[in-house]
Amino acid sequence: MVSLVAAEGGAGAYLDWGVVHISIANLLIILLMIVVFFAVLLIPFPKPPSERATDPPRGAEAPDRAGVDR
Amino acid sequence: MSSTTWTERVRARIEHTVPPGEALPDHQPAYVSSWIYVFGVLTLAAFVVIVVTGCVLSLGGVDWRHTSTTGHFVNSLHLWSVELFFFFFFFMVIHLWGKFWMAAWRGGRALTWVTGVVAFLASIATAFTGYLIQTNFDSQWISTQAKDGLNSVGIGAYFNVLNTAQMVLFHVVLLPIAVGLIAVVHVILVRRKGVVPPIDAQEPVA
Repeated sequence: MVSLVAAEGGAGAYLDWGVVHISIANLLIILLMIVVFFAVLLIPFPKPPSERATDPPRGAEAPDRAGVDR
Repeated sequence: MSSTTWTERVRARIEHTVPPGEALPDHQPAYVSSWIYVFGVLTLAAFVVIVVTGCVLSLGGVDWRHTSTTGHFVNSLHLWSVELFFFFFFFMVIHLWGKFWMAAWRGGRALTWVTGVVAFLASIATAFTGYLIQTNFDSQWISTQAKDGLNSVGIGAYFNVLNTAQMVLFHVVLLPIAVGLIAVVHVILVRRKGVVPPIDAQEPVA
């Protein structure tokens, strides 16, 4: 059973769930990390202005940009 | 001709590891155009902020952060650089997740992965010793709790969390140097082996 416990002396609120005992602050940070992780996978990366100007029309074959990596 | 002096051998080794003109990239494969590839360098940027604020704090001395508002501000910058504000661990964990799910040890990159793991563990140790030298009730609580665990695994005599001076040495000198050196090796390996391609993507030809 999940319970929310406020610690004495203003040390923060904790979530208790079986063996799991975690502060709400830490839980929120972990959830935020998961949200950011999926966001960075889904949000498109901006192209540099030089590439934006030479974008091929939709449906055309994309240029090979897989150059050397160093 | 084989190198005869140690300076020649070191120079040859450096030139083999980082050939002239290849220290920093000017091109990356197309698959690097994703935000997930940004988090390694963000972690490095956060590390720089931590080192700079840490140097300022150490110059101020142990009282400065308790008695001066400027010292308290720099202390807060140092703390939140690690925790939230500049997201050292936040960025590093997302970097770790990204590399884990793309199996970044593929293509002869096992050592790159291992140095990343060691850097992560050394960072945890560095952060831990930082909490121990805050010189407040928080550090007293953490050290007295931690000593039992460390004594139970038999390293309390060599790594004594109740010895503040020893923890200062670990936090200000030994561990930051270790993290910095491992990070340098990690980045050099990334430069040598290239950024790992997504699973099923074709590896670019160098």
